[in-house]
Amino acid sequence: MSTTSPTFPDDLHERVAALLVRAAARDERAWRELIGLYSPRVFAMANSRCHNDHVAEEITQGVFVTVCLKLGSGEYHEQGRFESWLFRITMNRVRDLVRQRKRTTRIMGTQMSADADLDAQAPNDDAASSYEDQAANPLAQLRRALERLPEADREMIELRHHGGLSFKQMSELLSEPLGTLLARHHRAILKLRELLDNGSMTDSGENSGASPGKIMEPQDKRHNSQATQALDRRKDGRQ
Amino acid sequence: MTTNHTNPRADSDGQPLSMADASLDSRLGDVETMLGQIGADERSRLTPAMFDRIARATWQAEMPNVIPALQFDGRPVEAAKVARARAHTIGSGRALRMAAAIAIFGTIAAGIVAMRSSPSTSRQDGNEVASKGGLQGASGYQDNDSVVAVTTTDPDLALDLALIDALWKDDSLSTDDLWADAGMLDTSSDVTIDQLLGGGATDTAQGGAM
Repeated sequence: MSTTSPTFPDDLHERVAALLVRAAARDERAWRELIGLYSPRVFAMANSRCHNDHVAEEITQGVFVTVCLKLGSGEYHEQGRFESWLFRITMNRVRDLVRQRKRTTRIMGTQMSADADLDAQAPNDDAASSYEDQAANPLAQLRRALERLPEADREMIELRHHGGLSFKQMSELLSEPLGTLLARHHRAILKLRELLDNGSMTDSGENSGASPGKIMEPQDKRHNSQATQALDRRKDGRQ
Repeated sequence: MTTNHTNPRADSDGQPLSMADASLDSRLGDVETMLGQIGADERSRLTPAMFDRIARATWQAEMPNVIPALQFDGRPVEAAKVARARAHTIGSGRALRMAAAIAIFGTIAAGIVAMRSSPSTSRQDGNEVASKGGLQGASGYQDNDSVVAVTTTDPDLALDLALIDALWKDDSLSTDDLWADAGMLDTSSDVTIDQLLGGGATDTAQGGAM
């Protein structure tokens, strides 16, 4: 699979529809095949937030338990939107995780970033090398930039690049017009580019004046950013 | 103005991109490429073992194996469905002890034990303990941040699940109280879960097979 084209083929839908029918009829092989198709994508979305394989596995399992129970009870009727449904469940689970971490941080009464909380308690064994120690690595920098996007932007990026959803699926899932979503995605990419260019991932955000977990909106810097001005000239065409 | 994908040096009207536009387009493309790499990296972290646990555990969670006659605390126990237990008051050590006790009693034929009472005590610990107790393919799931679930395909587990449910719901109860309430352990034997965990005391536990 190309890393620059994360979406999966359209003809997958017919195959998935058939698998869903078989799984609902208690065909375990079909169920395993479904999980084989989708669990890496669900897992990737979860792991992007928790940086912990065990927690991500648990979230993934929780997502599929929900799917399995709904299929078994006949509550789900395939209408060609399985992926949107699956990733809505995933998104809700990830949101639960984010809320839990924020709550924990408040209870602790510290100034630590919510994102650091869970990582500090139970990171992957190799998380340090993957996410922290490679400050000079562009991918590591981009991971850090991603963590500083506004929540809605980050969610959209993760649905697209970790979950592999098409913009059309994301449009259904997020209940947003396709054009709006494309523009939002482009602006989010631009924010990431600006964060990378500003080198603000090498500290806690002091350079950019942003608080952890949030970056400046592009309009705040609009008149100072050549890149943003270029985007403004082009964004109508993009939509 | 949009990029012309046939000729990336031109926009959709065939007009050449300005150098600034082309440079920006390229640099944004770099970000998308890297995001694709990150996404692929994250997807590849799901190992075959993880996949197997997820597939098995989720399938078992749906097994419609119900014993309607069996009740605990006035509530029907739907064995082999999902016994849910709130874990927000329980310490991780206690959850682990319970997992070990379940495993030692040997009543879970194909069971799942999940314990996520704290972020640092996760499925990894649960799997390890359950594995030592003889569980095959121990796995589990957490329904949300305060719910732990245990599932099994073995209908004989009904009372065990209810017991776990009760224990996790009321942290003030001692394990001995609960075992005694359920008639699973002769409290006069003074066998504690800790002793069970320590080994050598398993034979003195009575009522393991209900």
